[in-house]
Amino acid sequence: MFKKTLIFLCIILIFPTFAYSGDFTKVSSFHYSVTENGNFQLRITTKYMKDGKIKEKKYSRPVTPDDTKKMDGWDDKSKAIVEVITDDKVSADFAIEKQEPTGVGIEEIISYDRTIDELGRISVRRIVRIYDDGKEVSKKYHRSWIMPGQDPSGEDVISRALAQKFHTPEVIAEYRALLAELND
Amino acid sequence: MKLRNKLALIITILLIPTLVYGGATFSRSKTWSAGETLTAAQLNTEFNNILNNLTPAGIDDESSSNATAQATSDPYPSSVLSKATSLQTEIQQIRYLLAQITGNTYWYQDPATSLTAASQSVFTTAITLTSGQIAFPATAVPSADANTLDDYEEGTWTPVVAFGGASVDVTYGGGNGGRYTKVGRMVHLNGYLVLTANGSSSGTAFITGLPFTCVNDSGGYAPPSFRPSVVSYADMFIGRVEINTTTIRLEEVTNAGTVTQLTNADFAATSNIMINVSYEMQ
Repeated sequence: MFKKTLIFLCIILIFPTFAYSGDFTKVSSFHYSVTENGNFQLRITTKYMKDGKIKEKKYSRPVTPDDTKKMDGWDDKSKAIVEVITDDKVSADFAIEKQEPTGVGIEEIISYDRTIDELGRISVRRIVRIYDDGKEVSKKYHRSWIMPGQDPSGEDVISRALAQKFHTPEVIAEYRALLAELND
Repeated sequence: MKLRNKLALIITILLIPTLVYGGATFSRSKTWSAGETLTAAQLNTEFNNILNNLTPAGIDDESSSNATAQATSDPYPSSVLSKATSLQTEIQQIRYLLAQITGNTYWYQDPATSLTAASQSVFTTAITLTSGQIAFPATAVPSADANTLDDYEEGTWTPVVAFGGASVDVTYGGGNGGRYTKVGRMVHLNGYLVLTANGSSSGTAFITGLPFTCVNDSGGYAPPSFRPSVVSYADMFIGRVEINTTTIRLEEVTNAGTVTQLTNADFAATSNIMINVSYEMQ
């Protein structure tokens, strides 16, 4: 009986050790985007990792800086994106490019929003709206990418400016290395 | 006071109790008979009676029968305001809107759910969409909850072929294009790659430009179904959506089970491929 009790106690003491082995780690990743109105947005994904695998994800609501001149506390990439979109030349070109319906007749209005991921890949969503006397009657999306190293000319003003800023030789090299892995 | 004025006052006083009595729940203080002298005290008492009882409890109901209790009136027929001309119509218009809000036949029937429950997005019964539509925001608000649908989007994309990671001098026909539908984290797409020139790039073949990045997990590889034309391959044309990319790797598998990647050498100027695949986005 004593032997059985000892074994039982051992199992009870050891079991929790097994049950809680392998600690969770929390990894945050940032998702940067610039809306069709030219506003910066940041969303944070928190990944709960265990044994190198994502076990759970938690998404934050998108946040926008109250004042783009006061970016203290924001990460470097957010600051860099805000620097791009608030640049005088980019702002002026964006103001010219940005279309607004006049409210008269049938109009096609095109705008863009974009996200940029950790590899520098810029996802561009073109939004085509049809207005009839100022009332939106249709909205269509087309998605495309500006990959590091790809010529961004022909893209919208902000996407182009983001590509010029973030597609540095280092980012392009990293992306090409990824492609090379795929091509192997 | 002139006799004529006195007479008018008496007639008015005599008439008032009769009129009020029909719409009130209280009784007159006194009933005068013809020719009876009206004293100041009696007059004051009657007026006080009316003024003191002219409260919501003193005014008669608008539900003397089932028909009157159920009567409603549309305050906004054909999207034009129809102003009430009596308290009765005001009540009927409010009843009309209550019935509209609850969706019940009669305004007084219990609603299926309370506004509090609705505002908390908790429904105890199946959600019925009389308009038949659910609109999601243009920018998804992702949820990690396994039972929550967080996005829906339809759109188009443009397939691009790459050989060794480049597409130098590749040109596409007018039919080149694709369509996608994103439901939650799943992307369902069709595409038609139509070449008019296969260019000068060389190396392994990929279709790029998928609308969303594939999830970065080994369980996320997704093999598409293809309909290749003017593309050479051994035995079977296969491929997979590469994880953490926006590309489809193009491959062939022999009957013996050997998988190799297709290259530019397998393509011609007029190659075209139809694609259908579902994959999980990042």
